[in-house]
Amino acid sequence: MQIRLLIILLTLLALSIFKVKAQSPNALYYLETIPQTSRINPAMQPRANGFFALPSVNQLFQSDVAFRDIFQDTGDDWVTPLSSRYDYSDLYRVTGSTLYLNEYLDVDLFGLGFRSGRDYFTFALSFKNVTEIGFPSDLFKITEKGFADGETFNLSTMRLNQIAYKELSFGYSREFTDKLTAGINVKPIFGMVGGKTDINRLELQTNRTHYDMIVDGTIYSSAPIIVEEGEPGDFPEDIRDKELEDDDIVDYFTWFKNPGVGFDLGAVYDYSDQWSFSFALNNLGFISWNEDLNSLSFNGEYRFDGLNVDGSNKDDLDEAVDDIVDSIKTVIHYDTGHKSFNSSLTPSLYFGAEYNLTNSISFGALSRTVFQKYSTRQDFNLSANLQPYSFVALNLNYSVRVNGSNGMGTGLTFLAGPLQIYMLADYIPLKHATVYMDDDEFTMFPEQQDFSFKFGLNFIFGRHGYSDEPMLVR
Amino acid sequence: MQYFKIPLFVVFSLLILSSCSEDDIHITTDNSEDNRTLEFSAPLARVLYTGYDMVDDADNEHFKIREDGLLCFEYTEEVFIEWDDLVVLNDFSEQWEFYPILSSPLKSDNGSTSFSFTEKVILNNREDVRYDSLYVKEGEIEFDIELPDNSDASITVVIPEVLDGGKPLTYQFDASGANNRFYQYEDIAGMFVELSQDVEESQSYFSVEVDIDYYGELSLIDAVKIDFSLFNLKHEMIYGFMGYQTAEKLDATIDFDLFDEIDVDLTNRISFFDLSIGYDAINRIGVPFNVKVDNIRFLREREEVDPGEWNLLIDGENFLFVDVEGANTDGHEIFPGSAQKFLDRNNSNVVDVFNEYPDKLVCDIISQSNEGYDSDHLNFMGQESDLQTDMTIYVPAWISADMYSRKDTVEFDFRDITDDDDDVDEIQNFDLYFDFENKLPFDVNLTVWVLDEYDNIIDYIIEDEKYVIKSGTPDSDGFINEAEETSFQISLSNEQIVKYREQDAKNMVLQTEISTYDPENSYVRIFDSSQLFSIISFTMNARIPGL
Repeated sequence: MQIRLLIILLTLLALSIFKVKAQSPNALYYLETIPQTSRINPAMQPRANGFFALPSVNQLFQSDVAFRDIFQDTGDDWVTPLSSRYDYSDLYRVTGSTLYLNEYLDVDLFGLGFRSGRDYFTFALSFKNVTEIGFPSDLFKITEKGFADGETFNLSTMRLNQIAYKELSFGYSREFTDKLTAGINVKPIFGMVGGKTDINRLELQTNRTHYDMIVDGTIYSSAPIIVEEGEPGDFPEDIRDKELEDDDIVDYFTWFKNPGVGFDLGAVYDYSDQWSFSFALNNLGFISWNEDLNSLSFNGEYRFDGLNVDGSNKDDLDEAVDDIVDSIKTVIHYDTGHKSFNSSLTPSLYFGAEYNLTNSISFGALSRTVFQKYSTRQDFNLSANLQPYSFVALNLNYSVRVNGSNGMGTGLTFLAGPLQIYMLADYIPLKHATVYMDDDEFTMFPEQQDFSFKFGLNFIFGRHGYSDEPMLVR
Repeated sequence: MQYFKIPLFVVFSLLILSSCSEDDIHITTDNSEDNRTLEFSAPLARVLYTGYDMVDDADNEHFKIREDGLLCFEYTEEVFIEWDDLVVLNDFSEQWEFYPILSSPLKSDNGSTSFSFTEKVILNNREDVRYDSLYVKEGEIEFDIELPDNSDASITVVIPEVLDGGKPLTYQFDASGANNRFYQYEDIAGMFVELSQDVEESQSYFSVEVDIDYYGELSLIDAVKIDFSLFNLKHEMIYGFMGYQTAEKLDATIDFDLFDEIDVDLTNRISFFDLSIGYDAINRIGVPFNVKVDNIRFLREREEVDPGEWNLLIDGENFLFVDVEGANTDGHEIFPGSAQKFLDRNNSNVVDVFNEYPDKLVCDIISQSNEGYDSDHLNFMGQESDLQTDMTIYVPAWISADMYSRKDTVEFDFRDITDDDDDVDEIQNFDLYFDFENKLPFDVNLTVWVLDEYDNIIDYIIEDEKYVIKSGTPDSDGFINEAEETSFQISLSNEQIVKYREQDAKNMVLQTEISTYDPENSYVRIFDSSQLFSIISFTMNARIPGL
């Protein structure tokens, strides 16, 4: 007993010294003691018969590149992308056509759930913010090759998607048979502010005698900004923020405009007492933006073939430069409007397999595929889930992302009476190094590309679990 | 089985506890020897230079564009031949004495004796000049009449040909007792004078008529005395025949600076195909003139040049005549007469003379009035008293140049251009491209070198008179319809760039050798629409400076 207590305390101590960062909730998937598992797979019914969720925070950061991709280790030293020893093929291998930087922030305000026979009902209210930025890889050609004669920079994959919205999640799960459980989350969504780019073509062709720029796209926004239109076809005269009163700000958080809907689907199949297989498809949905709308479409081809100098401007080239600016504005056709637009949610597909060694030990394998425009993100995860006692559960996992990073993750939940505290972290930065750059010195996690973190509190009712699944097997 | 959990727990815990500290990372940002070399290619400018711009840039008031678009130098000198003496209205002052007894006086019914006499006020007595009438601009008449003492008479003085508002000047006096002397002054400005002619004596005059009704007896010695004066008479407009008179302007000169910019040793490499001298007479005097432009010669007197003088021969003669018709008038407005004469290669040796590169044209201008006209030809003269004769030299840009060379020095402060930044040493090579589309009739060879502040040659950018621009081919009218395309590039290596910076390049010398199209067999014309279009672009390979 004393040894066990010592090990537990050491484990908790070890965990506490880590600089846990945000993590995708891979650890959450198999931690059935945490009611929020139903947010990933709506078929998964929490162990608790009922719960009330207090505010929680989930932060996720994803990057296609790590520090070691930006600065490369040549063996002798680390070099910047400006070095002739820098290997751009390595960089392109991790970025693909687009380098994505994603940031997700969820703030769950509250939630609740309860069991009724074979059914489980859940509800949650949350605020979510999604920022997805895509940088076309061709931008790196600039430092790789420069603006060479005959080069083409395809920047069409440039992307910005920013949405902030409220989500109400109504979940339902049912044990249809002893083996099969299926569930659905229906999520009415109400957008607060949003913006996105829809670029069909953005291309720069550089030649010694001319540069060609081809553009075709639209920028949409639903936000408190004012666009002053200029002449038809011209760039807007002015774009500025709308001044908001406090009441206006409150409106953005409380209104039910910009409606949308999302769906989560899931199923769990208990093949045997040891094996179970699961599937989930999340975030199928969209938001339809129709408030505070502004759109800017641009279409055209512009050729720069040098300053045009003739008798009228040869003594003052500023005029020739102004002509270029004016011609860009006129050759590129701009169309301002107030078009409504839709933002798609970013769907995720999960496939899982779990082996229950005992009632308190299980091993899991999980595949997660995130579908993003111009990019698909694939993670594989192996985990061990331990619940040595009814009041504590632990997940240890290891995730690998294809063309990305890999790392350890963990989750911990602890019950103190009805209060459940949980912390989850994925892609824990285990490797760190001290970086010396010019006169600066700082600590960096050179291989880190992803991290997520989730922390929350629940009130658990019926927390002792199933009578036929005691918390501790002796 | 239950004991399995503890080791598993420990293993996982150790894995978590094993947070790895990796080796320190030293990032090399000083890539002075290691920077990537990037290529930058870009267009710089599309420059269109036309004949019109040539005129504009020359900033020379004499450099113009003709109606047909041909560029042309024009030098004009206005020469005024003064004809102040064409009309001379003499002052007049005479004393007249009249003895009434000798005039066959008439007795009238009222007992008075009437007698009259007429005198002439002569304005001109040149044989060949006749004045018919004039509108007076300025003029004054005064006369003093004295009758015999104790006369009792009525005197009327009429000047019938001096009209004031259409009425003749008339004055009335009454003499009585001691009141026998009368004075009259009249400002006749604005009046009209009708003149008579005394052909035999070649005089133009107007009359003064005096009528006296005398009461009393006159003796033989009783005389009426009149002191009559006319002075300061000037015409507003005068009609008549102004005679055959001569006025001249000697050594009238036109200076031109056309050859000031051309190196004296190289002027024989440029020859002109055609030029012309225009003589334009504008005559606001209602008198025809015959103008002789005589002793026409070109001079070369500028510094550092051998002086020279050449006569201009027109059809073999060193003079030319121009008949200038007189002006016309409708009484209100004067319509000038004019005459033009052109000298060109067809009727003179002007081209041969001009190809000696003179800087001055000098001539004598003599004009004669009414040459070939008789006195029946009506003349007039208003306020204008000058015969304006403009001489213009037209030098069209119609030339042949055979390896005309010039050297120009332009500022090329390399350190100033590059902000004295030694990062410019990272440029591995710099190629500047010029793609020309030439509709100018010039071939251009170029040599360019760079100097330091002490005029030492640092480097040659273009050596050995590189052929950079090829002439277009003119058609029969001198127009180039198809542009001649040529390209050349200037390449600078890293060594050159470093050298320019280290040795502080200050100036660039452009040695240009220009030849026109087929210089031995043809002359070319430069029009305002002639143009040189160039596309300037560059390619550069450079190492990026360190962070």
